[in-house]
Amino acid sequence: MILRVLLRTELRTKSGALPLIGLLFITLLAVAGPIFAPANPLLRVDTPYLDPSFQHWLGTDEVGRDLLSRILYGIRLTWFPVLAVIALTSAIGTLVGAVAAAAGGLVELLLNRFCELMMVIPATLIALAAVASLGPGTWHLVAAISVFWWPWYARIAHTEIRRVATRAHVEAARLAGVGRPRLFLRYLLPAALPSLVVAASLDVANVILVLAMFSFLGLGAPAPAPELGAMTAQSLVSLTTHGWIPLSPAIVIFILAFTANLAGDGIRQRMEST
Amino acid sequence: MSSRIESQPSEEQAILSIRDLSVTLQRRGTPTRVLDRVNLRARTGEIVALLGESGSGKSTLGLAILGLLAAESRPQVTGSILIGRQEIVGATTAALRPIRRRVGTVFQDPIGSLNPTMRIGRQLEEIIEDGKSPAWWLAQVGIPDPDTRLRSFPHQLSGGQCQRVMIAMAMARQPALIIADEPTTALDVVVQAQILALLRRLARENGVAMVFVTHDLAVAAALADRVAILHAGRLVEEGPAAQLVAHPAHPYSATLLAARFGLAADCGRQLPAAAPGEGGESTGCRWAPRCTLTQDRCRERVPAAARAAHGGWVACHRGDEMAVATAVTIGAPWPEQRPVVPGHLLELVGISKTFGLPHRAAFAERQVFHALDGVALRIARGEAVAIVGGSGSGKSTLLRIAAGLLAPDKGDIAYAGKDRPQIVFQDAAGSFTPWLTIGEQIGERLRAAGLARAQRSDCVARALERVGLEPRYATAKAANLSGGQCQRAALARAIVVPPNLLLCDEAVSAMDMSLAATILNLIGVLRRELGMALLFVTHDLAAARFLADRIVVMERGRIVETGPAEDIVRNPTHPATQFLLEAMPNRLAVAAE
Repeated sequence: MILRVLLRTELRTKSGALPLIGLLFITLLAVAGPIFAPANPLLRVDTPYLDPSFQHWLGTDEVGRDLLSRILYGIRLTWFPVLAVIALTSAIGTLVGAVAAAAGGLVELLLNRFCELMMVIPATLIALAAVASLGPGTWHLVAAISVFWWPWYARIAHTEIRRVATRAHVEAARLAGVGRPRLFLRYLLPAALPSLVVAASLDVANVILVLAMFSFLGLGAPAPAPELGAMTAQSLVSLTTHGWIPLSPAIVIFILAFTANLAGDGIRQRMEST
Repeated sequence: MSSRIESQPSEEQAILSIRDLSVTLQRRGTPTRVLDRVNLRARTGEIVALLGESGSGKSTLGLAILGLLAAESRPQVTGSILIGRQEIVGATTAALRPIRRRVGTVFQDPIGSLNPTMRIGRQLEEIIEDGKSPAWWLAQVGIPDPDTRLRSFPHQLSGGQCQRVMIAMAMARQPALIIADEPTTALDVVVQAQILALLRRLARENGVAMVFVTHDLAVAAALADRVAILHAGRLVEEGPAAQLVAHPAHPYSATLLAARFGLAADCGRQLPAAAPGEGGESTGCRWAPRCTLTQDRCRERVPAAARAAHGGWVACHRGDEMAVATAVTIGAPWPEQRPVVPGHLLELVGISKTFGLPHRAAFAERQVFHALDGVALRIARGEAVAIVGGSGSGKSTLLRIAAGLLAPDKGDIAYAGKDRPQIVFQDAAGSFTPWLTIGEQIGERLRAAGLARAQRSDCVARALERVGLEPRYATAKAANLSGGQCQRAALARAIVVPPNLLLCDEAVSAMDMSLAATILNLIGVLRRELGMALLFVTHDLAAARFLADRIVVMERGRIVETGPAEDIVRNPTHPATQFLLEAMPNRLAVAAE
């Protein structure tokens, strides 16, 4: 459904297509970025704290690593975990919310209370526990974040489906004898998609920040790895003296989040008008 | 074209003078000419009713006079609108501001037009310029106890009172002109008559010109000095109100008048409403495709305005002939009733249903609302029953229980049909899922019956044709259809596999008169052709009498009176029925008042 909306309608309008092309570009960069990286992101290649120059476009960091190379690798290390978290949690959340809305009664009650329970337990504790048992690493972190991230999507899917279920057009479909799976896939679920897509697109920035937080705590990719959030956090001390070192990855994070928001907004508008 | 005809006030006397006004708006990406060379004048103290069906462009004209056409529809306006001596067309926002202060407005939604966070008194104070007190103005518009009411917020007033406040606000700025866009449509009949009388009195006393936009001929006749009839963006006829309503000179106006159904309508035939059709871009008269008097010249040339017998003018090639009187004679006969097996189809016994109301206080006993209280109802195969009642009488709850969408708390339902009853809802557009095509949704019942794709699309096309829609609408979505088309499509969905029982929930209540007449005709035709039983829920006794064999009157969850339709209307015995009858929109009587 989403893919079809993207391909068929979105690309036809220029304004809607632009952020999507942006998303595509970011993903391409995440795949192919390292090819263009001029230096090894983990090795010292020059004097620390060099200003941007022709040789090092973004200068070097506090250890003397090429900053541009680190960012190009960093996009990959940040973007894919973010996408993974959002894809995983929105899928699980939608499934749980939809099951709750469809089942009703005791099942609905229990699932909703369980979601609330997951929401109120401090997320850091869950993630710490999860990573502690799995061991540090990016993909372990993805799993850990996903564990407490999905209930928000479950909530949205549940309310949206409940809201539309009593509308005249759904009642008409019921009277027409539409079977349960079809009623759910064609009549109920599409009603929740716009809200879910917007929530997911707004979540990109949040997930990047949470990833950064856990990387900072040493639970994500191990220390020298060029993860954008961790790079910003670690070099924050040089903000006043060599501002571009923390600011460059921060600006890239901003661009990622901003593009995702615009794309989400565009998709929502197209979905609501069709 | 009308400027040559002398029924209108001359330009010097006119407060409002519209000449050759054409408006083109961007609609769904294509520029559409919404108004085409409109000429209209209004002088001091005169009320001009602008009458048109939905989509005729009447509201666009109101907005154009105010210079308020939405910028996103990229309006292209040619011609001239003079208010006093000031030109509106092409004026800048800054130039419009002093003109707008001389124009009062009253809109359809009075509660939405008032600021909900401000007391009535404050809102009036901001506007009054002549030194009169807000309380004086409230008294002028007939609000009792004005000094206390000044301290009220809009939500504490009824709809009718809010409209009175809006009228006070429109009058208090001492306007030269008032634009009223369907100000009484949202109000009930009794309040409507009061508001009309008030508008008329104030316009006279204050010497204000008024343009009153409406879709209701009776309201126009009751209120206005002159009536101008707008069809598909063109004025087709204009004249003194009383004479025009008595002797319309344009076939379209005659059709509009005839489509008003009241308690005297002939139930043995269809209502004399014009067949549905789309006024495409043509070189000639836009009514020609649907007119019964069409000649070749009607299709070729736009008719010029000519003097009409009622003293105004008419734009019709045949307006001077007696022919117009024969344009609408009587409706088509009903098709033959398809024979049905005698016997009961639906039997409801002792049905009760209560809904819990929210707790009022922590320790208060929970209140329940008895929507239905021991209702018994029987419908025979092929019978048409109307359930009539005011809001909250439980009639819609009963319909939903009959459909199986709601389970009763107590009572038995026996349905002899093997299928499920089908419902046609009041909100036709809302009864279609916006992201699916009309055809796919009509085809759902065929899919449930196990038909293959090709057979389904054949059946859908036939069902669409049966309700008077072209088969190409199968690929459209609800948003691309008009209200009337949506209701036709909803009927197509209900009858694609003819059900034994068709349920209609206020199916025509939100429509204007002539559209409602065409849908009532369609329901009547379908139920006879297909031999369906009909359960028709409405608050309108005229519609109930027209469609039903039997009327059931409900009040507060109980059936209070039942009998043959004609008997109920002629000799009502229960006070609830009598009250419903008295509130019937016999609004032509207002004119005599």
